[in-house]
Amino acid sequence: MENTQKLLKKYTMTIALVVVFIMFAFFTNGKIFLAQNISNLLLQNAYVLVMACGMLLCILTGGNVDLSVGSTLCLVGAVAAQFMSAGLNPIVTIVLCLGISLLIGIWQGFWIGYVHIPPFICTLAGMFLFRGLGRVILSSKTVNISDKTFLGIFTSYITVPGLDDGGMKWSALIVGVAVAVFLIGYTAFSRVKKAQKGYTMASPFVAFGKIIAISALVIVYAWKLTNYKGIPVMLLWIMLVVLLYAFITSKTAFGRYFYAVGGNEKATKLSGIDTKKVYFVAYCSMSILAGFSGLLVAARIGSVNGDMGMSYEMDAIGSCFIGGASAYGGSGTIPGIVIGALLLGVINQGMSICGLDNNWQYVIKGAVLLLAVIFDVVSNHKTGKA
Amino acid sequence: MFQIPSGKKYYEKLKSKAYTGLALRVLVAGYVLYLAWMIASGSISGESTMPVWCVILFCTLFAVSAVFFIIYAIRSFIKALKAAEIRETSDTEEQ
Repeated sequence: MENTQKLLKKYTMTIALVVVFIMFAFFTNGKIFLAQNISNLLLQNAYVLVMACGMLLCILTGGNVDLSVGSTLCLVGAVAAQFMSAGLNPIVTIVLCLGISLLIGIWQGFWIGYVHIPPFICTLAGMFLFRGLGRVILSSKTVNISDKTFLGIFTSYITVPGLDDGGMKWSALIVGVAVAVFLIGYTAFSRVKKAQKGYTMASPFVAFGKIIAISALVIVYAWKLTNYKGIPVMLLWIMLVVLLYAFITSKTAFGRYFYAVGGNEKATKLSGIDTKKVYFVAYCSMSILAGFSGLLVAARIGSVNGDMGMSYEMDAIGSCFIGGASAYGGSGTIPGIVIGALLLGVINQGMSICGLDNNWQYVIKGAVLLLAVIFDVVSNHKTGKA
Repeated sequence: MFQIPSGKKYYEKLKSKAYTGLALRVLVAGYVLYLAWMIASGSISGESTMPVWCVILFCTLFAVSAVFFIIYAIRSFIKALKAAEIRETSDTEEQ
């Protein structure tokens, strides 16, 4: 009984995701399961997934957020659009845009990490500053992006000659099955290794049940891609960022510093860790990912205007908190925020497919937030904090 | 340790947590207010087919909730700040 409660608590958001998915499958008469919709689910939310990874590092340092990411995204998208309009090589444009994102990160990371300006104030200023700069660069107009190389780098689909020539893109299924086999094999291998070293492990039922469920989902997703246009390149970019950040936060010492700073900054400092550098890196990485998201969104839409990225920071922050990051820092994982981002994505996509009026969409979003507010007030009341 | 007579000293970590809590709560309240505004403006511009009574109901609900949450956020902040105060005047180190 206790184990079941623990499991339910641990996988609350995953269960919520499944429930919401089934609910929208019912309301949309199964349209949400169409290959195109399944494929678009990740592509439409690529920017959330990418930015949420960076936002997690900021939140881990003590519940700090970066409010300027939507504006950074707009600024970098604007620069990319103008560079390509001027005939600059798309690869050079991408490198320069990522360089500009890094400069923005250094700017904010310096003030937050080394001058101790509160992140909320510093990034709020950045939100207005970078949005304004983006509009100046665009001259308050919409600039189209038509460079095929640039669009191909972010929005094309992988086609293997001889395998994907027909209506079915078999390469997607092959990759999906290979990933599923690798996941199961890796789990078995790591369990054997842990058993040899005498480590305590989760029961085989839980461990293999979890990995088999994930593998089944991967194969179903791959099958849907097979029936549509194959593997989108954007999916590879998302996977690259997610896996890299999952590795950094869970397998490296430097990744652990973010948790340590959020847990107890003073103790971390006394342990000899440069906490200023930790803050600096968190905001640098956030800005680079915001800039990268700017390129992804610009390529996906095919144009950039001054309103691009408006309220995207809320999506990234929301994904982190829904995914289990603590508002006071020190806890949260990349798999958690992926679940959070997918949950937000499914709600948004489900409402669009249902053809819900915009106002009803706002009502649902507001209702979800109010529930969170009630939870906050009630839990603080119980613990006597307020 | 020299101390300004009227100035209060705080445990930095707790003070920072109080500010973070206030900022996040105000942000959430602001977003709920923004949603109320979007519902109202969508109805005024004629883009929405939502019945007027629903618009009034949800706008009022969201606006009132946001205002109450801001008041709650400020009260919690004052309480948290008070808890973060260093009461001793000497031989007290930061947490």
